[in-house]
Amino acid sequence: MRALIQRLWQGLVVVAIVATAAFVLVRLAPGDPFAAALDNARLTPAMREQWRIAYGLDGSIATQYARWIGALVHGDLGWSVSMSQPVTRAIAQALPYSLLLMGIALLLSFTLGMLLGALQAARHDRATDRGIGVVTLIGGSMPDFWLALVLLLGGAYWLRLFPVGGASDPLLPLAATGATVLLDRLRHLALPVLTLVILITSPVARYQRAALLDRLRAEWVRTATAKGVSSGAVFRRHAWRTALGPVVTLGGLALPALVGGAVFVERVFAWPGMGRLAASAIAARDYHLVVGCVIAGAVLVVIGSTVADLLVMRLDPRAADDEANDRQHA
Amino acid sequence: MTGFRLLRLLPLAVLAACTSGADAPPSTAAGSTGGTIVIATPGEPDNLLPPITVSQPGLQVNDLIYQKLATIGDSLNTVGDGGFTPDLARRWTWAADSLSVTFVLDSAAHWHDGRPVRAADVAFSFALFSDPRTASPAAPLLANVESVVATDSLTIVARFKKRRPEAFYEVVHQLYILPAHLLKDTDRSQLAASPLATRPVGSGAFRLTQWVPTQLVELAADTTAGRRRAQLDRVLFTIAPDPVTAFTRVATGEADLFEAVRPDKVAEVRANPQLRLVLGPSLDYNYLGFNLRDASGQAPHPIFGDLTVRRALTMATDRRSIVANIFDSLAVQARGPFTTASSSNDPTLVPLPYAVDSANTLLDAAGWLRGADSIRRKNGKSLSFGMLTPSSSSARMRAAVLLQEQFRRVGVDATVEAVDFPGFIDRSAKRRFDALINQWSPDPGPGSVNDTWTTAGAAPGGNNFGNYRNPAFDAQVDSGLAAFQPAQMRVHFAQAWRIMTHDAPAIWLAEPRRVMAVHKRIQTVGVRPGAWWAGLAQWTIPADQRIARDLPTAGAAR
Repeated sequence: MRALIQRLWQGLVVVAIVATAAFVLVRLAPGDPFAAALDNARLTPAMREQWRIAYGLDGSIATQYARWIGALVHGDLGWSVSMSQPVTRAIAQALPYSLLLMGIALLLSFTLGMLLGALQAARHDRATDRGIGVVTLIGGSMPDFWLALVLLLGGAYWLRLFPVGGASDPLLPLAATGATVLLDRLRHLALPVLTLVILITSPVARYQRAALLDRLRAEWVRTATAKGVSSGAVFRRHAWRTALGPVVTLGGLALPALVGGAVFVERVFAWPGMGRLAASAIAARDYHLVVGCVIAGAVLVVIGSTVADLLVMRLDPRAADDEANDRQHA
Repeated sequence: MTGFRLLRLLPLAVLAACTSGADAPPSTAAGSTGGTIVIATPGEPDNLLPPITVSQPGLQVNDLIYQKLATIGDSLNTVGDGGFTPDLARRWTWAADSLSVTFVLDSAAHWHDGRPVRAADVAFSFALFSDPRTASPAAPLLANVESVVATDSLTIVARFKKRRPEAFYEVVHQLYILPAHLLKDTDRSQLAASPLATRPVGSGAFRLTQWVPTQLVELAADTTAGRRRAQLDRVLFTIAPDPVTAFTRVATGEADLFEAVRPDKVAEVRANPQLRLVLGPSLDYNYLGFNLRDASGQAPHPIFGDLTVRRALTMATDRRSIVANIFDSLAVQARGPFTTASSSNDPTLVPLPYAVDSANTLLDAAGWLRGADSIRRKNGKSLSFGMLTPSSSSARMRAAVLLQEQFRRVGVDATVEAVDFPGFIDRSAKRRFDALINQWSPDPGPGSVNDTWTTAGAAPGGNNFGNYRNPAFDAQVDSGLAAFQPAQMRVHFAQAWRIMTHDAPAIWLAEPRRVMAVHKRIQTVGVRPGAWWAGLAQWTIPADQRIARDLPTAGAAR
């Protein structure tokens, strides 16, 4: 419990530092949230200044920061200029879409990756191992933007199996049943999920394979085998369970993707999630929205890594012992 | 050889088919009202409150939701009231001294919440637009309007400070009429936070039914009694940030219209049996602009301060080939800060010729002589400069590369400085560039040139980024804007364009045409230069050609 509180405290500091850095850096970048307005030949300097004042973007960075902290204490992340709504509302609208897309993609990728990695380890140095290795290498090497476009063209344009983009069909008929609506949602999810699964499965499989091969060579595994435990039981109970640690850590690190989304994939498939929101906020220099997205991502990093550490300790008691020793020395 | 010639002729044949009316709408007569048009768009409105809307998608939606007193005609005449058609105002009469106009409103007009539109709404809208706290980009165009006063519930009088040829245009074109009963208590410096910024209530042909941020904007025809309703039942803007995705939606039949088809996609649209091309002139022009002042802003630029160099670079540029390379035949060569659709267009204007030998001679005469590496030098400094370009514009990026190559041939070392759009705007406004590849989309009136090319616009904060200043040019522009006869106006602007051609403050590149892919069942009417959506309320879908999404029940499941 003490370790958990310490972790969360450290996490809070990390979020504060990251948010402050984002706050300053985005303001140091050329341009401001009114770039589109500045492209308007009739907007006078006085008007531009009026807009900056109206949106609380006047004064020095320090002044703006103090103002922003004051609002943040009250749970106000500021106003999104590009979306004409509070940042919290913009994030609240995009977050469920990212959780859905990335949640399904991560679940499928990790399940598939762990199975493939285990299969490779079980068939080490055989054709299956090498075949899966080549396939996952190719899958993991493809640029996300390119893969998304290829799948878009293949699945939506040439084969016409899936919709081009978006999260749902805005023109579903009134008489559509629940099953039709569900099917529509699944069809819209198919291509972005497939893209992400191809991209994420590869590293998971490689981690799982390497960890399992390492465990299969361990002394306690050889001991269990010598005691006459069946090879299946040795593989599942003695090797695989302890080999889950690196994959769980990888999963913890992947959790922020739930919030961060996959910028390029969401852009290509017009998926209204956090990745697309953050990218458009950066492009529009929507200061408050950028910082809001960064905070959301940082919070998830902290939660993800904490949860992953706890899971690893649960799966492998040696990790808990190491943690306790560290605290003692500290 | 034959194959080569065929390849060269193919794009021309494609364009000829487009421009000759081969893509005319189906001949079926318009049926009854109804149908849905789905527009795939890469952009999203910033807000839907006209005084503070700056994004193009926002302006498009505003034009469908709100009304103005009168609508500019397809000729884009802005002098007097010629060509303007009644919109919210049923009729108008001029005072004998031409210093005021009395508008009589359509008594049947009402807001989408059911309340009637009254003269007080017009007076309120003027007050809101011109209030400095609102900081509306439209306010400068209303500067000549002294007052807008309601004399009874349906009559308003707009009084001008001075007699000006564009006085009528200025008061009717920018002034969207807003509901006073919903906005009167709103803090004008915080309009963006008003509920109406995202849930607008207008009096136009369409009302907003839903706006799902980053996904769609849905409008429905206002079918309540007492006004001429739109022909279409519904307009649905589906938002896809990637232009490839937006185009693919139209190509697969998920959407009906994409407004910015790239030249390399034209053949694909023509091969698609469901689609046709709609071409229209635009008001856009792009150019390579020179910064005529140095970094301090006080002294002439070491390269572009010299008229001879500017003219030489212009003559070294094969503008026709650049335009053809980038836009195929979907653009014409620009000849100044106007387009062929502009009322100030001078078709007789002759640009500086493409003459590489003359360009070399001029550069030699200016003291820029070739060194061992073929790059010209003068007083130990090489003839090198950067071309600021927004990386988000593929057309401008390609233009930069082509210009770089053409300049290299005359011994000029130009580099491409690609930056993202906010960075481009930032450096343009601060004038931190040698040359920039810019594009303007001016208002229909010729007055826009005041902001971007006259001495007034060169002041700090103005939009004459290149600091071009010539009193003779300014005088012709002023005279043109003061002319009450269109012909007289054109004479002055013709003189202004000739002065500008001589001064060469920019290399005029292209005047891109609007190229839209539209589903064949949709009959387009009145595609106005610079505002293809202006006639959307009159677009139709014949009853016998409607598809599933045209049914009134489609979409209700959301």
